[in-house]
Amino acid sequence: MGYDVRDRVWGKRLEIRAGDQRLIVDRKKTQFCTPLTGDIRARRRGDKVYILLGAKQLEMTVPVAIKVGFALTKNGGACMYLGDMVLLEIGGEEMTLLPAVAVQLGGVMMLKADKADDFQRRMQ
Amino acid sequence: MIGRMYGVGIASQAQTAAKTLVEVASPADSVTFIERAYIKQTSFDTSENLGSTFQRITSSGTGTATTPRPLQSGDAAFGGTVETNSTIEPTYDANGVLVEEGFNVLSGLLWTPANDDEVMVLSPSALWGMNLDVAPSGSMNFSYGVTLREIGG
Repeated sequence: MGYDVRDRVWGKRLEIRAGDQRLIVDRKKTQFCTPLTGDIRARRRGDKVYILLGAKQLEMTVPVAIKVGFALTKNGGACMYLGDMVLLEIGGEEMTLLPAVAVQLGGVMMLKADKADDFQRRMQ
Repeated sequence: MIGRMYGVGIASQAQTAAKTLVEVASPADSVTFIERAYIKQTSFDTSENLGSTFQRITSSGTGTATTPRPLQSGDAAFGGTVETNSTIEPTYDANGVLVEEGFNVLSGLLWTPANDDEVMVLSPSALWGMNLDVAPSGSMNFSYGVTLREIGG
């Protein structure tokens, strides 16, 4: 299934749609929230990158992982004020990430995507 | 390979005090990774232990502007800035130290991330520094540097 990038990573908000599913990375002002920490990881298997959320996982192709990783890092670094968090919305399910978590998670996703890309080229 | 790689290297520079050796400012439109950092000593042949810390920086200091060199010939110039051998110290992030390593000056220090999760990620416009946090007993020549990866821009 193809995907459609509704906004550029260079802007504030990234939205990727595939069918009726969507993935959003954005910034959000929060007053009360329980940030996700420690239980969210990026991993690679073969030519795919995965975000592991507890027992769930989200599979991404290399270009999607790069865009999402870049958007997480960029938005994490752009959180300037108290209460600014990074929003990661997957299929309507919202998660708020601490800026530092988003920066690191995004960076790791890009490195995993790099390795997935190498794998893909090796297989060709 | 995703992104562009750059090397920053300073050869045999006399140091007598604890100070920031490298300060990296990520470009405003790109993400920068610290892929490698090292400090070697080239003039003193007696065993002596020193230390170094890698930290995020909130406010830039003043140092010698140093041009990162693309590892792949013909690549575009690094979009951010790098300063070495600080004369005015930067203000380090109050959240503390990312890496603190002691090293013997006879063998030097080499840091590389043990895995992808450990890599140091600088968001656009973020600052990072590597310092010598213990003053050497006398003047010693240090060679030091970092390898950077820039994605975006």
